[in-house]
Amino acid sequence: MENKYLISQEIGSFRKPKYLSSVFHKLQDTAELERLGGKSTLETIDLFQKTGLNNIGVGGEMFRWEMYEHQANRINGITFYGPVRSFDNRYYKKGSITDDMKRREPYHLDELQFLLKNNFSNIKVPVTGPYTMMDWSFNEYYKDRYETAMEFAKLLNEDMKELKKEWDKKYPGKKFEIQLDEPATTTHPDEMNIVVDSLNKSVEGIENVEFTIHVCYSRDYNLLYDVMNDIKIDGLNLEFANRDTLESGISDDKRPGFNDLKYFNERNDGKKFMGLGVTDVHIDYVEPVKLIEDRINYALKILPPDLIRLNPDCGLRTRSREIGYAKLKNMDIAKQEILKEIQ
Amino acid sequence: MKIEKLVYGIYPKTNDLRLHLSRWEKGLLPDSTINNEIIKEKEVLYKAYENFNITYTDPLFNWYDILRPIVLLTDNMEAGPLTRYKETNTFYRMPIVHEINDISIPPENFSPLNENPPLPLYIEKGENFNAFLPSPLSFYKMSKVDMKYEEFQEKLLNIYKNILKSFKTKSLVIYETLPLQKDDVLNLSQLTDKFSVKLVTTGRIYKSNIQGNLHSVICDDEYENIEISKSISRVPGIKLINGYNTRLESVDNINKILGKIGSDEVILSHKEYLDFLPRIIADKKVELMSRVGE
Repeated sequence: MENKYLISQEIGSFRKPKYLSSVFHKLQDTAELERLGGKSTLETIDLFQKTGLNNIGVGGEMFRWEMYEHQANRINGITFYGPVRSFDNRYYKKGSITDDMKRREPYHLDELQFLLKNNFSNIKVPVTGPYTMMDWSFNEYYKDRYETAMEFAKLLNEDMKELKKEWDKKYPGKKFEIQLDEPATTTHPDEMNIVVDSLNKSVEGIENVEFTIHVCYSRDYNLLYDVMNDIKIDGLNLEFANRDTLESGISDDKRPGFNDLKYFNERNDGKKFMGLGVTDVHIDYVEPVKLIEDRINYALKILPPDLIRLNPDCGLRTRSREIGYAKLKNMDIAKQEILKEIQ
Repeated sequence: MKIEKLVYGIYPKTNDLRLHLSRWEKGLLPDSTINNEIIKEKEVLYKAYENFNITYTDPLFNWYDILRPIVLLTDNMEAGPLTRYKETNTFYRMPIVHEINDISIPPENFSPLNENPPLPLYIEKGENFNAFLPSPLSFYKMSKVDMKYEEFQEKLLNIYKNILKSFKTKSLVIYETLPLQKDDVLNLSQLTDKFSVKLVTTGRIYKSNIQGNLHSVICDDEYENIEISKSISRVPGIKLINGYNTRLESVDNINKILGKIGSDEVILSHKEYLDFLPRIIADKKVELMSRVGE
């Protein structure tokens, strides 16, 4: 029963321990960084296991600094002129495409090899999707945004094929899970065709993989629901708690953040599952079990339990490890309580 | 043809200033020290602008977004949740506007703020200096506010007048960051009576969008826009430098486009403020602007 209903999962990133974050850039491309990345991955997986998470992702993305930069750094044809501000005094390295892009090295193969070597199989590898890579890059080379996204899709397709090959060596015949992170998905409503085509190009020819898409902080998820049946993915892992109230109750007015599940259900071809963001990653407040239960129970009024998964809104790296743990733990307790009722 | 070149809005910071701000955020630098560092960096930039004969606003190194300091110094406004700024990977704190009465913090003096580096709002320097303020219309659309737009506009422009009075400047740039819709009306008459206002718009504009006796309407490069800019402001303005792409523009092309405008005087500026670019590219684009018309 537990394997089928309300599967719980991490979205991706988790706060790095200080011993790793403080030296990450200084030790770039060294064996020592690999060692520290491995150590913190195992510690984070241990923490995840204590919370009861079913799927441990890749152990909090300890080998990666930032979702865009990690992939862009491994592509020839992208030039970095300097950091660009995201908000306040937070910056990211935004690359400029100055030449035809080619993968210089695999994006995430070393991370997967580490997890396989340590015999983990309940994993989900997050990769940054082609539309977001395009949207977050300066384009000085390709004709337009469509062509740029499709080029990123081609590279991602090569990368995911390598990941799948590696997975099959260890677990032949077993389904592999990949999450396409696409936070930019609905930022340009008139470009949903680019989102659909580039995602489909990314997953082309890759069999026996459960593909999901993760989107967060969208102004309008309905744009995604309108096209989701055209995208070759199995499920969506989205942010909801951030848009919700902290009041208890399972009525529409108490759960405004989750109201659009109705539209999702209406549009769904019946096969796609929804990863529900039941805890907000932008606040330190640890949502009580009862509130998380209410959020899940509200969703259960709309969707069957096998189409619901549970996760935080986004990666928990914005919170301390202690708060991240507490949020995940409460998510698991709430889940267990509801499972008793379902059973 | 006389070409005035204008750089407005938040300008990208140097690595040094980013590091100082990072230390300040962690409580390792006092407000007074970060204020001095910000002023120092602003003055370096002003000097470069003067050398390039560029008209400019304060580079707003101490504005964490284009609304926040106004929100924090105005009574009954607060900085709300992080919200995506237009369609970019950039975020601002959505203003929550309960009422607009007055300002209780003097904008011209050093003053620490919560979740934003300290005031003063601007450091006035040089003949080519302009104050910078976000358009009430974009401010309204980017905020959570329970008030009709006309009332919001009138009250906010009163606040703006009070801010501008605190400084000696007579000229300012108003930035309309969101595209104007056909039935939008931005009435700046309250300001244009006393100040020389340059309005930077985004997207297609309509004649009925803008009211007030403006010095310049600086618009995106479309024939209809330029014609409207010529008809409703004293000096037409055009945005030919792309703040969203690192590719450097051709000075020859810019000269050709400006030559076709058919005006004795024109203002050349950029699409979006340059904070979306790495600093090194923004500097190159400003230098490139300085060579236009030579």
